[in-house]
Amino acid sequence: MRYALVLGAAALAVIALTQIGSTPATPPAPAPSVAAAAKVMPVRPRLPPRPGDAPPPAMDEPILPTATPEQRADIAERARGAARPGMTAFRAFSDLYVDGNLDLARRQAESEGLTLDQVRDLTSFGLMVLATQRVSDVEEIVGRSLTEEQRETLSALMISANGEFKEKLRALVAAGASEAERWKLIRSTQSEYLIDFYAATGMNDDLLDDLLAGNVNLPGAPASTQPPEGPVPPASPVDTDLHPERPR
Amino acid sequence: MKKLILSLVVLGTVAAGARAASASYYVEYFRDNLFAGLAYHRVGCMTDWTTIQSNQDYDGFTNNRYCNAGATAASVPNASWYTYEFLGDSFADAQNRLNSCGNNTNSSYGTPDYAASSNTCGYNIFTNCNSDCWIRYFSTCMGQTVGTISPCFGYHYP
Repeated sequence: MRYALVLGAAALAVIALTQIGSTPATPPAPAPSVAAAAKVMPVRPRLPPRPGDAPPPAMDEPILPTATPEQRADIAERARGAARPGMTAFRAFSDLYVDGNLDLARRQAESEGLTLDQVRDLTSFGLMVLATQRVSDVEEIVGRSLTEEQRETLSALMISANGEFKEKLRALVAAGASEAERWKLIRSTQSEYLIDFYAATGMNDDLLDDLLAGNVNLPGAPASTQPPEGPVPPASPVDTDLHPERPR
Repeated sequence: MKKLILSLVVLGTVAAGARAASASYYVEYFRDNLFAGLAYHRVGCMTDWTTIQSNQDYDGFTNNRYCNAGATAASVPNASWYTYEFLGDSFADAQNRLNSCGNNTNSSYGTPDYAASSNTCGYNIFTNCNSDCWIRYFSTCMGQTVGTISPCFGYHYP
């Protein structure tokens, strides 16, 4: 099998890198903010744009966090011996991704009436769900092709779980539910998704860990990649507008 | 006064008709936000602003379908609109540009025929191997780089 749970010291450093600062004291969830939502949800203009019309708004460039050597050493020590190395590495990269977009994450939290920790957790979960939809990778790990019915079930699972979760979450928030109630919904959604995913594909916890670890024969797999030493600004804009306006 | 209002209505109708008569083409970008976090899948569809013009999803790293020819361009299933690029008034030219950039991007990311997995890099939201980076490369090829949020470490556009 191409996928393997091979985690070196470098990967462990990466894994742990995100543990620092990833569990801040949880502030009370704010009420959903219309203003915040307007900033982060683009709106399609009603009229078809023509050449010469104002272009879509330019966006800021992200600034990425750096980890000091001391932080890396500390993290490597704390992360050693993770029970689920693939999941741990995957989560580490997900957290780095959120850390690189903290302003957007805060606005997303405000927009949905969530805490930053909840946005962080849901981001990781969303990315994991996307990973479970990479059918060719799943087939390689389970060692057989999925039937057309299984593929359809898998695709529908993501769509239904996502839609139902957001509907329930927004209802909870609108009803003034506590942070604990929102966490309960998040956890039950996560566990139900995995139960259904395993049933649809033949995957299990161990195989999911392999999937998330990535193909260590290819560059970039979470299980074998060391992040760059410093911040490298991307050469293109960051999508920070939650509500862009589409021309009519 | 009545005549003036009537004239204005007629003029407005004519102007709107003229605008609608000359079809223009666009690539419109949509994003599928998963579970209210910062996890997005991004996709481009060819539109004439009213309807989607082809079944081709311009994206990588998923098998999920978003662009359905004939469907309204204002939205795609399970995703929300976020930006666009004007491609001119020729359907053939617009489609050629899109397919050319799609092929270039597939070559760069090892996603032949817009595959759900890369055969040259390991999927990672932090590095240059995910759908954010794919659409960044694609939209840069098209001429207007769209906003994304993965840092795409290692990203390079020729």
